[in-house]
Amino acid sequence: MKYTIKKSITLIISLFIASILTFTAFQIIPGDSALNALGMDATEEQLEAYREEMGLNKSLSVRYANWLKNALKGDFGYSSQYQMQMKVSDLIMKRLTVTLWLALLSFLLIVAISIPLGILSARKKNGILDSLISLVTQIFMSIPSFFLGMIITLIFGIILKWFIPGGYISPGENFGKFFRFMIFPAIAVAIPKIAMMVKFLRSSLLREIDLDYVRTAKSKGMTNISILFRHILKNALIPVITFLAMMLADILAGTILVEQVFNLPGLGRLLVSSISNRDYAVVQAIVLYIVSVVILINFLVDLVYQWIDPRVKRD
Amino acid sequence: MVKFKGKTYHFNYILGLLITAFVLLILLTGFFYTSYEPNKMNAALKNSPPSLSHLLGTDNFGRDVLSRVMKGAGTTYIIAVAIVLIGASFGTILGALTGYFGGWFDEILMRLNDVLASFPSILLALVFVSVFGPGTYNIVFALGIIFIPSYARVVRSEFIVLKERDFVKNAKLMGAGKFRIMFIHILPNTKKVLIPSLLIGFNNAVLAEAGLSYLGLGVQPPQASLGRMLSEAQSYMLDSPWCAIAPGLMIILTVLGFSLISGGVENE
Repeated sequence: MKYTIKKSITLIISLFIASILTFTAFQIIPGDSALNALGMDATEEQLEAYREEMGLNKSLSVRYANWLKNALKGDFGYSSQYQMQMKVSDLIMKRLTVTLWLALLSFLLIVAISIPLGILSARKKNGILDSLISLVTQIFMSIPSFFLGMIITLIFGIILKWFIPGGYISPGENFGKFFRFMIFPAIAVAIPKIAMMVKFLRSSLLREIDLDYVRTAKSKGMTNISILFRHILKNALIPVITFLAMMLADILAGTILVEQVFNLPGLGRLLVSSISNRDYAVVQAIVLYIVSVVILINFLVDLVYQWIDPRVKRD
Repeated sequence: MVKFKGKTYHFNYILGLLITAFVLLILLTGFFYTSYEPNKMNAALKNSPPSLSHLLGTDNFGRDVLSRVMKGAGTTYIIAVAIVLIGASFGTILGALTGYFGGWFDEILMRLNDVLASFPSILLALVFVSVFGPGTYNIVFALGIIFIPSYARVVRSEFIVLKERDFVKNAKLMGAGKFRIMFIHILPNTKKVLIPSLLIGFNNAVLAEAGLSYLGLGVQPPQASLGRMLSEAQSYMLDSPWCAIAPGLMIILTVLGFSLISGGVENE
């Protein structure tokens, strides 16, 4: 219980610091933000009215408090690239589906492929298969996911015509087709991470194999396979969970680029177009959103951790 | 395993050295000589496939892809080296100070560090670019700052362990000053973790430059960089896939070479 409370306090502090950083970063933008928003030909009265409306005349801490208060209610104001006609929160909600599906699919692919490969690699330690896997993982780790996306588009989209490059159908319209448009980008996000995960899992397993309890189990006459599944895997998977959680931030970052390659209407593309259009309210909201998700997941992992490995509570 | 002068080296380490030597050869040649002027357009030779006169083909403006890759790799590497220099030097100083002295300063910086770690680095870079605007210098500055915490963390944890060791106590007894102990006695001993993290940092910088320039927020045209070339090649994947494959392979070879070497240094 004490552990949970301690972690919850850290969670709140982290979220708080993240919100301050996100807010203040956009306060140091060079130039007059009213002028930036309304353009050069705005009159002095219009500028003044805008400043009044946006609370730009108030002090930094007051503006932060207002922004945070509204953000907690899910209100991030209006988007300037849509002429203040669209609510930032609606814009984000619309784009969220794609990014969440992409992240989820990549995550599932990573877990489903890397765990068997990692075990295989560790079992055949220093064999030909292991060396091969280790070289191949090293190569795949070196491929930027957006380049992989371009190659996948070339092979599966342009040459084999398994999907239409740049196409997209919303899940509500036709889920099967939506899935088809999502799976290739998900593979592009997942492959470099699968490689990382195999490498990590292999070293985690090999570390466990040399420990005393494995020797004891062997001397009791257990077979290698049952030792692996009943003892080693349980211990070796603990650091893997942390690694997976850390990877989540990377997956979200990967979707930003890969959405661009496959022309998917997700958060990443919204983020990039908002940056190009200087639509700061949207950029701020997306950044805060992604960072909060990452912080929350790390918190959940900490809680899961104490449940699977009671030793951490004592630290 | 390969034996050389009484030492054994892992096969992957040798492979890494070979790949890196190849990449550096292309890069250094590119500084002095390219077969064509990298930005010279030729309307008669748009999207022509690899041939003897243009080994890697030409792009949608008829520019020679090989020459552009050679020059573009140079741009990317200079950016990456600058980023790592900024990140590693400030990170090392911060990590050394916080690791050696500890205290409230250390506590505050580490908290901040934890929060910054939950910002994916490309996201932080995007925030920077959105605040200060796109461009080569801005991404060097942005990514350099973003890289500081990771080096600070590595150096700090080494310093915490090493400051308790006997050689540090001896140096103290001999009357060495704090900064002499930190930078002349302790710092050289961190090289076994610092060198691999410099190599990996360089890789991350190459990938980050590529990503940001791909999004159109880094290096601006007509200057070539590996990411910029990928971004321009995207719309012509059907007509001239070689425009994307050449810079892409260059990125992969660079990153692969360095990570194989860094794995070898760690295993030594």
